[in-house]
Amino acid sequence: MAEDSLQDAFVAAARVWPEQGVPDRPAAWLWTTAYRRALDRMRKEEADARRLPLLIADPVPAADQAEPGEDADVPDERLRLLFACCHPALRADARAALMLRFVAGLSTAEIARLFLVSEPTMAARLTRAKAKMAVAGIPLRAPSAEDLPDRLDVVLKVIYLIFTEGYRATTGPELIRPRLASEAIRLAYVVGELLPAEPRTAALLALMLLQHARRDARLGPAGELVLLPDQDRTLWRHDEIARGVSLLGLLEAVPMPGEYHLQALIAAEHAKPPPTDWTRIARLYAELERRDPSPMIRLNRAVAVAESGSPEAGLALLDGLDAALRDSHLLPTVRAELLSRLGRRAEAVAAFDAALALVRTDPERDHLNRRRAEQS
Amino acid sequence: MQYVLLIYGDEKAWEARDERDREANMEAHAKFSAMLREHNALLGGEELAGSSSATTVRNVDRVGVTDGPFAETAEQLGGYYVIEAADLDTAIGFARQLPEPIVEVRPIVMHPEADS
Repeated sequence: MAEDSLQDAFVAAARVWPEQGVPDRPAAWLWTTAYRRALDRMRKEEADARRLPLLIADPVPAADQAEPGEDADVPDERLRLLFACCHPALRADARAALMLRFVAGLSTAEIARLFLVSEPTMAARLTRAKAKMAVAGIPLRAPSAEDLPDRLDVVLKVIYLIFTEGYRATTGPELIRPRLASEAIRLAYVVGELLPAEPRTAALLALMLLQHARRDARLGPAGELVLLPDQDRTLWRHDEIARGVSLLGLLEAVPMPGEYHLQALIAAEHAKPPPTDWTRIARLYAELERRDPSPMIRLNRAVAVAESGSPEAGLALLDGLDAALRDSHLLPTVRAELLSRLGRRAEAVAAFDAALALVRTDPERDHLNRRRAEQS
Repeated sequence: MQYVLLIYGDEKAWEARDERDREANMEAHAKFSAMLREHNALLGGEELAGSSSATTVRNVDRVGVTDGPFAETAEQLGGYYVIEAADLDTAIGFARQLPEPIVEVRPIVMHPEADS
């Protein structure tokens, strides 16, 4: 979609520029047009999908519809809403709900379904957030140029939080909630349209497109988790992968790739036909860890190092992560897999047991039980 | 000497009070203020909005601005300013310039006819 839209933008530019002259910032102009066209297409594609449930759902109360966001097509107004909804003085879960309500224009009932809470609970969360905005004096305006970089960081973080909750749910019977992830992608297009000159937005969009493209292959017929090497690649959305890769191509000129950019490059590497270049992935993770020394990045780097041929080195990278990742099943899961690969079966079984004690989704639990049974 | 009197209370109980209790309390505060005025002891005082409206600004680390009141137990309240600011972002801008590590920004409740 992105590359088609960009193509459209270039065609439009070719038509317009000879008459009106080249705009001051042709790159920004191109990005805006590309984002807008991608959004138009998404709206067209989603219109039919949305019309169906509307027919059977209760009519939306008039007061609910009259709130801002729905028809706020004036970019300034939406930009103000965007930054107000993502104000750092709001709770993280409130920001996500406000974004979906007032920037994406979903109904309270839809957002409640996406976050697996009751409609009254979501309505109360939104009411509390709006009360905080009013009482605390959170302004409905775009931040100053000085504050913009930090505030955009918060916006992108909110979007990625919505995406990751859709991509890998932390609770509940389902492992992925594709609708939540696709709403995050739509929000990123909106942000891109409003602030076209920000490479970070395009990088996040590329990252989400590349990850989301694998959604149909990540679960098996019984809803079980299918790991990347075992996925049926014919189920990947190759058109969406192409979109992500072409966005990355447009970002090549960015001198210092940011964190989303590095992650998107890793996702793009995974999306290539085998053999996967694990050495390059390990290098990208090392670069990512240098920027953001977080335990989750170290964990992923350990996997990449192990896959590039040194499970011992990967295992060594896990040292010292236990305290920081105490509540996550992912650390013992990775440790178990690396121990299993090194033939240290008894230790692997113990690590699988540790992972099973922490895992919270049913499909992942089944996967761990299966892998544990395979050790003997 | 000058002192600040900081009033602590259970917000839930405060919110649950009926109108009569509320008014009785307002009257008691008006009486208290009048008594202080008689002694030339009143320098200022305001009712603060609920802690759910609070924002905390950390000038010490990268955390920056967070939702909610400052709730650590190691640090204790050490002083306060009453400022005029157009909105929360302006108030945060001022709070960032304080030579102090942690600042809680809490709106003051405006009583339209408080001084009449």
